[in-house]
Amino acid sequence: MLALPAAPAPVRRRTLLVGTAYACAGLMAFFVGLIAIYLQQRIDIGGGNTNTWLPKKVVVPEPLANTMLLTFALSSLTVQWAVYSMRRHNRRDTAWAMGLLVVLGAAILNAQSFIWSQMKLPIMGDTVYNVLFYMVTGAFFLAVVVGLILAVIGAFRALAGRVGGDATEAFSALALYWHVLFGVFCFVWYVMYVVK
Amino acid sequence: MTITDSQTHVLTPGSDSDALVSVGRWATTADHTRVGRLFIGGGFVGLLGALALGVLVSIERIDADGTAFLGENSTYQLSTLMRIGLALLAIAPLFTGLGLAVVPAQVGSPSIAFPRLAALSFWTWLGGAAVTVGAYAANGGPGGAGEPVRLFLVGIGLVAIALALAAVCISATVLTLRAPGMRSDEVPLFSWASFVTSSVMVLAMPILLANVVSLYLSHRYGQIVFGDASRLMRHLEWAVSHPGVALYSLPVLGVIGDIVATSTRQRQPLRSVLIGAIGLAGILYFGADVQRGLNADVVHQPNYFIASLAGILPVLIVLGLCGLCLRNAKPKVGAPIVFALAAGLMAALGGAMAMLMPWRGLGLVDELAVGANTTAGTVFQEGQAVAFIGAGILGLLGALAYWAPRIWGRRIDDKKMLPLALFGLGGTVLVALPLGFLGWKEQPLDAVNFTIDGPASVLNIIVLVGYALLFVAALGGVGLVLQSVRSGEHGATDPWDGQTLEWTDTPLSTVVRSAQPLLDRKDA
Repeated sequence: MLALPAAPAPVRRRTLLVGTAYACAGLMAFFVGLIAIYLQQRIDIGGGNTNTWLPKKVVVPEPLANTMLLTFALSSLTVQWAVYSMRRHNRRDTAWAMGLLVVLGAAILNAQSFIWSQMKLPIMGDTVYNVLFYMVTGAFFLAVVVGLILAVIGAFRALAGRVGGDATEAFSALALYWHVLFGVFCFVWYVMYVVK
Repeated sequence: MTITDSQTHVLTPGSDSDALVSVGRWATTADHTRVGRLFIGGGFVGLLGALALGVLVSIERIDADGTAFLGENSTYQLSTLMRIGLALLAIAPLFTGLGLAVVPAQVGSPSIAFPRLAALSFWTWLGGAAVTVGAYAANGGPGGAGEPVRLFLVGIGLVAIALALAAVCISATVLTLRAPGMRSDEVPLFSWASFVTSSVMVLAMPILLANVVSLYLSHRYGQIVFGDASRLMRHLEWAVSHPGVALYSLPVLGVIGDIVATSTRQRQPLRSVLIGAIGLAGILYFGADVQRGLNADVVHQPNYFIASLAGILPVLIVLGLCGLCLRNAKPKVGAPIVFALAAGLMAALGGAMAMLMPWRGLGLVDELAVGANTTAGTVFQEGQAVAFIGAGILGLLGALAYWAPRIWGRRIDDKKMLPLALFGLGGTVLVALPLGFLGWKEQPLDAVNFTIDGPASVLNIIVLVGYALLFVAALGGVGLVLQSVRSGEHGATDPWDGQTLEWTDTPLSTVVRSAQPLLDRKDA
C-alpha cells in the first residue's frame, strides 16, 4: 500500500521576530527624536559650533567612547554567535556566547558610567548641554539595561538546555534587538562624542 | 479513590462574589476581544469628557473680551486638554480597541499577537489617561505650574507607550497570523487600514515620547531647555493637529471600504488602488516630521505643503472607488453604511481644509501669543482637526453597528442608531466650518481673549451647538452600545451576509483559496 504524501510543513510564523522588529523600529524612532532635539538645540543655542555649545572645562572622554563602540561591535558578533550555535543545537557554545554577551553588556554599562564620572558634569548646570547629554546617554543606558536583562534570561535558558525551536526565534529576536542597539549607539557615538 | 479537587463555590448570579469574579476576569483578561472592548469603553469615556470640554470652552469663547466662569489660564488648559483628549484619549484608543477586537477575526487568527502585551497596553493607557487628567486637575497642564506639569508629561508618556505597544500587537497580527493562504494583498480593508495606522503609530508615538522625555527633564532640571510650561503645547501640538491628527482616524478608510463592499454585495473594483491609497494616507499623516518645537518655520516647508495638499487624495480615492461600488449595485441601507459614508465626507472636509493651511498669506497656522502662553496657530487648526475627529466618531459608530455581533454577540438597534449620524455629521460641520472662518479671521487657538472683525460671537455660538451635537451623537452611541450589550438582539452568525473572514464560524479551519482580493466564504 502506498503511503500518503507527507503533510506540508507548517508555516513558520516568526511572530516574536516581527514583533521585535516593530519594537526596534520604535526604539530607533525614539532615539531619532531625542537626537533631533539635541541637534536642534545645538544649532539654536550653540550656533552649530562645538566650542560655543559645550560648557567650559568639560572634556568629553573620546577614548572611552571609542572603547565602548568597539565593545559593542564585539557584543554584536557574540550575540550572532549565540544564534549560530542555537540553530545547530549546540548548547555549550550557546551558553558560552550568552555568558560572554552578558559580560560585554555589563562592560558597556560600566564604560558609560565611567564616562559620566570622568566628565563630572552636573545634570542641573548652567547650560542646556548638561540636561540633553544625560537625556540621550541615559536613555541609551536604559535601553542597554533592557537588552542585558533579556540576555541574562537567554543565558539561563540556554544553560537549562532550552535550545532549538521557539528558543531559536527568541534568540534571533534578542540578536535583532542587540544589533539595533549597536546601530543606535553608532549614531549616538557620532553625535554625542564625535560631533558633540 | 482519593478526591483531590478543591471545593468549588457555586455563585448565585447577581451576587457580590459573582460581580467580583467578573471584575477580576476583566482585569486580568488577555482575550483580544475583551481587551478591545476595554479600550473602546475607555475611549468612549475619554470622548465624552473631551466633547464636554469642547462645549465648556465654546461657551467661554462666545464673549471675546473675557471669560464667563473660568479664568483665562484655566480655559487655555481645558482647551489643550480637549484637543489632547479628542486625539490621544478618545479616537486613538477607540480605533485601537476596534482593531484589537476585529483584526484577528478578519485575518482568520484565533487571537491577537502578544495578547498579554495588548492587555498591558490597555492598563498602561488607562493609567496614563488618569494621570494626565489628574495632572490637569492639579494645574499641571500646558500653562500650569510646579510638579503637576511633570505628572502631565508622565501621563502623556504612558499614553504614547501604550498606543505604541498596542500598535505592535495589531501590526504583528496582520503580518504573521493571517489564515493559511491569505496573501497580504487579500487582507480585508479595515485590517489593512489598522495595519497601516499601527505601523505609523509605532514610529510616531516613540517620537512623541522623546519629546515628552526632553520636556520632563527640562522642566525637572531648571527649565533652561524649553522654558516653563507655557510653551509645552508648542512641542506636543504636532501629535494632536494637522497632519498627525488624521492618523488616528485613518482606520475609517478601511471601515468605509469593508462596509460599502458588504452592503452592495460587490467585489471592490481596483482594490489594489484602494490599498495603495490607504498606505499613502499612512505616509502623509505621519505628522512627526512637522514639529514646530524643533523648527518654527516647518509649516512653510515642502513636507508640510505635501502633507497638506495631498492629504485629501487618499480620502477621495477611497470615496471614489466606493462610489463605483454604489453605482454598480443598490446598497442595503442601514446604520453602518450611512455612518461610513458620513465619515468619509467629514474626512474629505478635513482634507479640504488642510489644503488651505500651508499658505503663508492666509496666516492660519502662525504662532500667536495667548496671554502668557504660546499657541501653535488659529482655531482653523482646531476646526480642521475636529473634521477628522468627527470622521473618526462617525466611522467608529458605523463600525460598531456593523461588527457588534462579532465583538459582543448582539446587534445594535439600527433604527435608533441612524438619527445619530445626522447629529454627528451636523455637529462636525457646525464646529469645523465656523472655526475655519474664525481662524481665517485670526482667532487664536486655545484663547478666550481676542479681538477679531465680524460676527465672532454668533459663529462661536454655532461652534458651541456643533460640539453639543457631537456630544449628543457620542452619548447616544454609548447608550445604544450599552443597551445592545445588556439586552440587544442576539446577532446571527452573519447578519450582513458579510464577505470577510470574521463572519465565518470557524476561521481557523478556513484555508483561503480565493484568487480574488475580496474574500468570500463561497470561495473559501
